[in-house]
Order: sequence, then C-alpha cells, then structure tokens
Amino acid sequence: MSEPLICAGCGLLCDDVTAEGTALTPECALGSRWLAARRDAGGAAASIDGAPADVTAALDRAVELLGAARRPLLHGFDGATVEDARAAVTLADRLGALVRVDRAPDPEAVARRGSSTATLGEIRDRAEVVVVWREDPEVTHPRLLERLGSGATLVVVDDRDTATAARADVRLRWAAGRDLEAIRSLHVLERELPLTEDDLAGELRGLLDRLHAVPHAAFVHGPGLGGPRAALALYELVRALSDQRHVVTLGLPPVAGSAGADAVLTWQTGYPAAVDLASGHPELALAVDEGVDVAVCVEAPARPGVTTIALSALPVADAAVHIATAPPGVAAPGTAHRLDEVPLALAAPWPADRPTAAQLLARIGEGLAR
Amino acid sequence: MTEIRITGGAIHDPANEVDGEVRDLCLRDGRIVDDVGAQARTIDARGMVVMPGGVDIHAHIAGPKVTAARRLLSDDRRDDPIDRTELLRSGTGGLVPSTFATGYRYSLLGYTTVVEAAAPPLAARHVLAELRDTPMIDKAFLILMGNNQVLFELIRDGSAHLRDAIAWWLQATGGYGVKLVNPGGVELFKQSNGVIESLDDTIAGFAVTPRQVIEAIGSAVDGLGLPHPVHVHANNLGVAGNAATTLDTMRTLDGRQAHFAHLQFHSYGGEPGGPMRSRAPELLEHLAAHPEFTVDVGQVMFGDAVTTTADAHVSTVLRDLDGGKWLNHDTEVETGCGIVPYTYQAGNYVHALQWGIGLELFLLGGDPWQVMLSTDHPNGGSFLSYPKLIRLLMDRGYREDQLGRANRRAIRRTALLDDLDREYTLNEIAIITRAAPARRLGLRDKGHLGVGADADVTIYHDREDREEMFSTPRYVIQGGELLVEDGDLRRVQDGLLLSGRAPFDPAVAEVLEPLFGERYTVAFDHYPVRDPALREPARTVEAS
Repeated sequence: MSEPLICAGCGLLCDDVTAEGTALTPECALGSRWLAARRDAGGAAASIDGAPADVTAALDRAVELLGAARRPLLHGFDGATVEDARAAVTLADRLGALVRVDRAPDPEAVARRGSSTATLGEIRDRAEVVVVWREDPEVTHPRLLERLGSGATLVVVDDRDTATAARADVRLRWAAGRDLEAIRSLHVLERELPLTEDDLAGELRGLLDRLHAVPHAAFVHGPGLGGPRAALALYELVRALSDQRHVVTLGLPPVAGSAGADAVLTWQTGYPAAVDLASGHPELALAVDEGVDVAVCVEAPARPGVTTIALSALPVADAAVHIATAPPGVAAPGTAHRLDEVPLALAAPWPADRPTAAQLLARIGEGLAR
Repeated sequence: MTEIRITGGAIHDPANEVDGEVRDLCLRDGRIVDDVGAQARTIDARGMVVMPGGVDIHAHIAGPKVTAARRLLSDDRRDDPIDRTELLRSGTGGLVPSTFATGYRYSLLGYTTVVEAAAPPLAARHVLAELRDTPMIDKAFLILMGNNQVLFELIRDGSAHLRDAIAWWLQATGGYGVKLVNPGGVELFKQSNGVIESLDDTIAGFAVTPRQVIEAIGSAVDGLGLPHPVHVHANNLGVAGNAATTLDTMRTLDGRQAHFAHLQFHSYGGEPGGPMRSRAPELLEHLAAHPEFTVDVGQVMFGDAVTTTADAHVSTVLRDLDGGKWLNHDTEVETGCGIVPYTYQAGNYVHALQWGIGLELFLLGGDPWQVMLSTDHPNGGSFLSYPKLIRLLMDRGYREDQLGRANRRAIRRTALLDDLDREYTLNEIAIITRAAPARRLGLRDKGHLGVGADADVTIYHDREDREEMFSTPRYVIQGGELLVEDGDLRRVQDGLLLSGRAPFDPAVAEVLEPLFGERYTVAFDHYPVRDPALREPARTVEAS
C-alpha cells in the first residue's frame, strides 16, 4: 500500500510524494535511500559502549557523563526536527554547553551585508535565468530543477561534467579556484569599472548580458562556493544587480535538518550556527570546539575522538551511549524548515515505539535536575 | 486558589471610567473579582498607580523576518547579554532580542499582551514556534493578506467565497486578524521593483487594483465580525506626499471598521522625491470625523532602530540611502520582507520631521481612544523606548528640551512650536497603552480592571520622572500571578496564544485547493497548522 510522505531526504522536503515499500513516486533515488535507511534502522533500542542496554540505563549513563562534563557540546541536527533543536538548546542552556549546527551555512556573509532570497515558488514563477554555481543538485537535491520549472535559462558554473551540467543551457567552465575572482569581476563589470582583460572576461560579460536582459534571476549556491568570502562576494553582486531587476540566491544545505535547527538556535539565543553558553549567556562561537570532553550528537554522525551520547535513528559508530530514536518524518512527526525556510509538518506514516530526540533531551534535562 | 488584594493604589481604569480613585482591587484565579477572603495576599500599593497590563497592538517580535533580523544584527547584541538563572533562560537583547528575552523584557515593562503585526501565513508554523518560546506575555499574530495572489483572483472574479477564504486562512494558521501591507504594491515590487502610484493602478497579471483589494478585504473582515478589524499598512510608506494615499485609503474604507498602523510613516506632504512636510493635522481631522477608524502612531525615537517590514520596496530605498546591511526575502503567493538597520538622528531634517509628526499625532487633540502608542518596534525604535515616549507626552518641559535638540528647520514645519501645551494624564496614558488597544483588538477581558476581566495588572511608583516610572513597574501581575517585583522577574509562565475565528463554509476548500495547486509549492493539505503543541493552549476569540 502506498503512503503519502513528506520526504526529508534533502532540504527540498518534497511534499507530493508517496512511498510503496521504499520506492518513491515521483521517483527519487536519494529519497528512497533516505527512507530505506530509516525503515530498516532496527537494532537495539539503546547501547552503552557498544553493548545493548535498555533506554533507562542509557539515559542514566548519559546523565552521568554530562553531569561530570567540563566542556559539553550539543551538535549535529542533520536529520533533526525543530522540536529536537528546541529541546537541545534548552538543555545546552542548562548545561552551559556549546551548541553547533554542524552543517549550518556560514553566518558571516549574511551578518556582514545581508542577502536577498526567495521561496521556491517565487523562483519558479519569475526567474528567467537560474545560475547554478558549482553545485550538482541533480545528485544532492534531485528534484530541484523540476521544482524550479523549465521556463528559465539554466546556466551552470562548473568545470566538472556533473549531471546538473549535462542539463545546462549554458556552461561556464572555469576552475573552482577562480570563483572568487569571477564573482568580483562580475561586480566590477556591473559597476562599469575597468576590468583586467583575461581569459574569463568574455564569459563573464556574456553572463552579465544574460542577467541584464531579464527582470528576474536566481543564483543557486552551496558549499561548492568555497567559503564565506565567496558567499559575501556573491551577495554583494546580487545586491548590485538588484538595483535594476529582482535577483535572489537560493542556498543548498547539505542536509534537511540544518535550516530549522539554525533558525531555532538564532531565535532562542540571538546567534546562528554555533553558540557558546558557558559564560551563562549566549556568545557567538566561531572557533573550533577546543576542550570538548562530552558531546551530545542529535540525529547526525558523531565527532571522532569525543565521548559521545548519540540520539539518532541511524546507528552511530563509537558512541559511548546510543539511544535509537523514531526517525523524524518516517516514524515520528515534527517540523522541518525547507531550504527556502518554509516550515512543514513532517508526518509519521510508520509510527514506531521509540522516543524522539526531543523527548530524550527533555528526560536528560530532568535527570540532571535530580 | 491564588487570591490577591491590592490595597490603597490609585486605580486608572479608563474603560470603566475610573480615573485615579483610591480603592482596593481583588484578584482570584486569574480574574478580577469583587472581593477576596482574609487569607488573600495583600499588596500594599499606597502612593502607587494601578493600571491594567499593557497591550501592544503593533510590534514585530516573532517569525522568519524577526529571526532574519537577529542574524543580520548579531553584532548589535554582544553588549546586551542576559544570563541564565534558576528561573530564566539566557538570551541576548539589543534591538531585536532573542525570544525568551523578548518575553521577559515586555513583562518587566508592564506589558501583558503583544501583537506580532505581520506574519506570512505560509510561515505560520515558524511564527507559532517562536511565540511558544516567547514566555510571559499573551500574544497574537496578524496574517499578511494584501498581496495574496489567490485572494487577488477571488477579488478579481467577485467571488462570493472571499469571506470564507479569509476565515479559512485564520483557522489554518492560528492567526488573530488580517493585515494589509502596501496592498498590491509588494506584488508589484516582486514583479518589477515597481511601486504603486495610485490606488487605481492595475496589478499586472491579476487585473485588480489596490483599491479593490483594500475595499474587498476590508469589507470581508468587517462583514465577518472578526474581533479585530482589518489592520492596514497603507501604500507608499515613507514617501513625501503619501498623506494623499493615506486619505484615499481611509476614504476607500469609510464606513467600515479599520485600524491604520504606524500612521506617522503615512502622514507626509510634499512631492515624491522632494522635501517632506507634515499633514498630520488633516489626517487627525479625518480621523475625528470617522469613529470607525483607529490608528497607532509608529513614533520614531532618535537612536538606533531596525526597519523590519513586509513592505520590501521600502527597504531597498533605505538600502540605497544608507549603503549598509540589507536583507530581502520573497515569499511565494503572499508577501515580501525587507530588513535594514537604521539610525534616526535628531539633527537630520527628515528624521526630526518624522519624530515631530509622531508627536503631532499624539498631541494635536486627537481622541486617545483612536490614537494608540507604538514605535512599530523595532522600526521606529525598540519597545524599550516606550517609557521615554510616555515622558515626551506627559512632561512638556522635557518635551521642549528634546525639541531644542532636534533639527530646527524640521520642527518649524510642525505644530510643535505653536505653544502646544498638552500633557497626557495618567488616564490618557492608560488609554493609549492598554484600554484602547485591548478594545480595538476585541479582547473584552483585557485592558480594563472591571470584575471578570483577566487579572493582568501593572502597578507603578507614582514618580515625577515618568520615564523612570514606566521603565520599572513596582509589580506586574498576569493571569493573577505575580511575575515582576521591583524590576525582577519572580515567576515565569508561558502566556496564552490568542487566535481569532469566524465560522466559514468548509466548501471553500474546494475553491482554494486548485488555486493553491497552481501557485504554491506546498500542497494544500500540508498548509494548515494542526499540531496541538503549536496551537494550544490558546484562547480563541470568536467573531461577533
């Protein structure tokens, strides 16, 4: 029997999906893998140092470890819900812990200059040029191009022959190391300042002409852009282009849970991405997690070399404590934020008798209070 | 059973025509009652001023745009940390405090109810989750409907389902009321960076005009009898000459109940692009002739602010003026969003004129039941500046001192130098900060101290320095529980979600579903918020 599903296999959170077994309609290999891993998760309800344990004993051990921790960290959130993240920041506040949304976008560019973004429907209905900048959504967000419609000219900036590049109307093939230079040069051209003529200049002029010819355009970007400097340069370019037309960016998060968790961290503390609560109040924590001795890892892979309490639907290697959760969107409901920040209610088509990470985090908090 | 007797305070309860009468006030189980037993806790309020809890009819405190502003302003909050305690969550303040800090600070200010004035319905889940993390205060949110493409289609077609659709949307989101922001203009901005020049401009692609949108939605909300009438942020905010648009908008809605938000930003004479002047007196005159209208002022306060608006075009104007940070976000079918940090400077002609126009709206003889206090937090300034604004209204000497610091040329273009000696009384302050907003919101249990009302009570030392007085209430009681004592939070509670509701024909879903399918990227079935953890406990205020 087929079940309707909101697929959290990637940040697109496609909500027009049905599942039969683990096969999805419309077809999506990534979504099917996401579902299969969670429907087959099985395994022990909990483990301590790799040996099966009951959930109560595992929670007791988690409380013991956190009670003795000098520098606790709560991190992950790859597959977490908003409810999980709210519970995690609540516990972190109690512990005076670090909190890190592992796959959150770097907040620096937005904090320095701002950004211009839009929901999927805005881009689908208005953008006439879509520039995919060194990302391969055909693999990472397989239905993105379908959901953005077929009306726009697709420009792909990438020197790799990716599945997305194969669908491009226009390809621009410089090497990744030249992206920052290319974005800055586009900005120089946009401002009608003199540009050093080199091998990129012709292609950049061509791209700019395309953008100037339309009232709406979108840039799709992600980790491929290579860091905050390039992101900042892209946002500056978009801002300059926006003077005469409507231009937006769409970030591709590498996981489905990061957008919601990052929003929660920001609304509860005032800061995104990584926050240190050790001083008794939130401080932006951009440095590496020095001195962390115990980590609570929420719906994500553990960090090597740290004593880890893993609250996760999937198995986590080398965790001191692992408690299996009901997989969000499969066995447990919850809220997730789509990559364009639209919040959606994940369903639980196959409910399981397992707790959510949010419930476990609350119980750990109760244990620490005792 | 919690019982409290407040003794000896001067009661200011204008909704019940009580003006400073010294008598006891009794509270039991969250309500105001006639009397309580001898075992009741007694609060000695001799020499103090007793008012209903404050009600903020227009602020921006929760949802995606507020969190976007937090991201944009992470450097603004570094020097304003809030430490966790046994009782309190930690947080950060600044112009846009974190959620817990927002709840705590409103409570410390004596406010017990706050309305988030502009929520994209598509983001209702996000708004509700943030409100759940905003403790202490009771809260409501208004949903943005003035640029909704589905409603444009219904309006264009003269559909009989418009009222049902609006009621459906409130039910689907948990919203309290309906907000129009630059009706039609945000869609035009998203289409072409365009602006509305006349209410009769056609919105390309939809064959409707802003006037039709204002009239149709205003009439529908009026006809539904929702607790709060249509809440209007008119077209052309901030533009010289926009008073003509504001008056045209008012005339379009004449005869129907309506609330006009942050009127100060819509009260300008002059020509677009040219020097501004004040047309506050004409707007007040129109208001006086139309008791069906109310406004909040949207006072600007000199200092830092952050403009946070669904009227995204305004943000591009400020971006180009200022060259600083700018954030834009377009929400499909429904709305836009723009954020620009901004500083209002006393020496700047435009800023001083805006400041002066706000004061004119308060001081030129308007009925306080029609003209309510707001700074459009954080657009004109933080809600934390309300005590300073109250002092400007109550203390002529202080006001004249502040006038002397403002751009002279601007102030000369206002009526503020015309021997304007009005000083608000305590009862008038009680009207503009609690009684009138509660009445206008249709919150019959709030904004007054009559028997049966919510036991939301704020008690102030009666200090000569009104800014000091209103900054630090002696006691704040909400729902019958003592939350604040002398500037310290004593108890934390969640506060209620307030939702508005009107009956509707469920068959409207059959009309809406295909329109959703054409326009939204979220399935119709997945749009309504059903999760009880987000929607309950709520107090639902029914249409009448």
